[in-house]
Amino acid sequence: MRFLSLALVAMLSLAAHPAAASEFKIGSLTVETPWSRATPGKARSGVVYLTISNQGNAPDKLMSISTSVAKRAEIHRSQMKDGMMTMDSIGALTLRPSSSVLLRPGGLHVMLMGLLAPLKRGGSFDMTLKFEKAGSLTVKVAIEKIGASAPTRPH
Amino acid sequence: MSGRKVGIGITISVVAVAALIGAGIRYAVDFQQKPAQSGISGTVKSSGIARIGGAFSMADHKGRQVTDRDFLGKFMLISFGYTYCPDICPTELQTMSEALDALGEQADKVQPVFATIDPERDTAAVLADYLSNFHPRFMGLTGTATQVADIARTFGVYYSKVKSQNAPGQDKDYLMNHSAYMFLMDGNGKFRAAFRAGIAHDGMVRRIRDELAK
Repeated sequence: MRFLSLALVAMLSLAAHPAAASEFKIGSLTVETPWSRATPGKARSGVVYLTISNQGNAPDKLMSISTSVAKRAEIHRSQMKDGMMTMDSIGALTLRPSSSVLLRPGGLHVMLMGLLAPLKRGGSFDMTLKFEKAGSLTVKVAIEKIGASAPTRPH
Repeated sequence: MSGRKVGIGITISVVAVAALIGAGIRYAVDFQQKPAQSGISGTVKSSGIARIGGAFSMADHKGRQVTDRDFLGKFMLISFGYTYCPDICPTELQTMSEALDALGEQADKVQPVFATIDPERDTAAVLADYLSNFHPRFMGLTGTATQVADIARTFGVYYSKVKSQNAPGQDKDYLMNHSAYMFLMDGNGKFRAAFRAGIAHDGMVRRIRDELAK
């Protein structure tokens, strides 16, 4: 139930989303402003946030994600369960027609697991999203400061 | 949904916390949705019924031994988490930092604290480095596994190590599940408010101002 309301919120709040600094398109899909946070010390998990819009009239699915900076990348959702914040892998992410999904702090996010090196503020890296219908799209992810709540730099 | 869970079934419980205290927090926190603010949200209404807080003994991020008594005389805004936490914890610390900035001179009456629930990796030096990314007056707390379990129990904070399904051998990369509340304690060490992860800093500022004025 919580998920449904979050998904709805994500779709509705797209209208208020500021103009994207970077856009990547494939077919009827647009990925906007992929950004990450610098990682501290020896931490081997990182995070990526972005918005995926499906302007087409058929659903698609984000099936998998890969990047050379980490061993694995998965879609996770942070959510409260029995008073604890948990991060669950949700597998494939459904992209409904004429709607958008927001990945942002405190909710849906791409988890980078097994980082090969710390992510440094001001840098960037490539990440490839594999969609069920649209195919593969490589996007450039900008690295912001630790704890950044939104992307700040123009890309 | 086609959910595969890396959650409850495969977590190892590191600490079992008094259910009464946990229930107290849930009563203390108003789970009202504020969808425009964040994916996870909630503001806090009140209540003195929760028995949160009490004696603890920890090391700060400079390696000094501290106890709850060292925090008396000032309000304390305390969050529990771990530095390897990529999503929630840095978001909370950023919100706390923004709240302190917005409090202006009143911020001097509030000590921001980040207490780790992952002492295995979060040494004083690791905490010091991590906290340099946030408000300059942040104090980090770490300690032995027992000390951390004790302070967590005192605040009704749950935590558990998540065992990775995909990489069971890579234990040093583990994630943690944990209670994601920020607590406001007064100068007498008494609980005043709990803020849920995802709260916007302005809501936190209003509540802190109200509590400071009481």
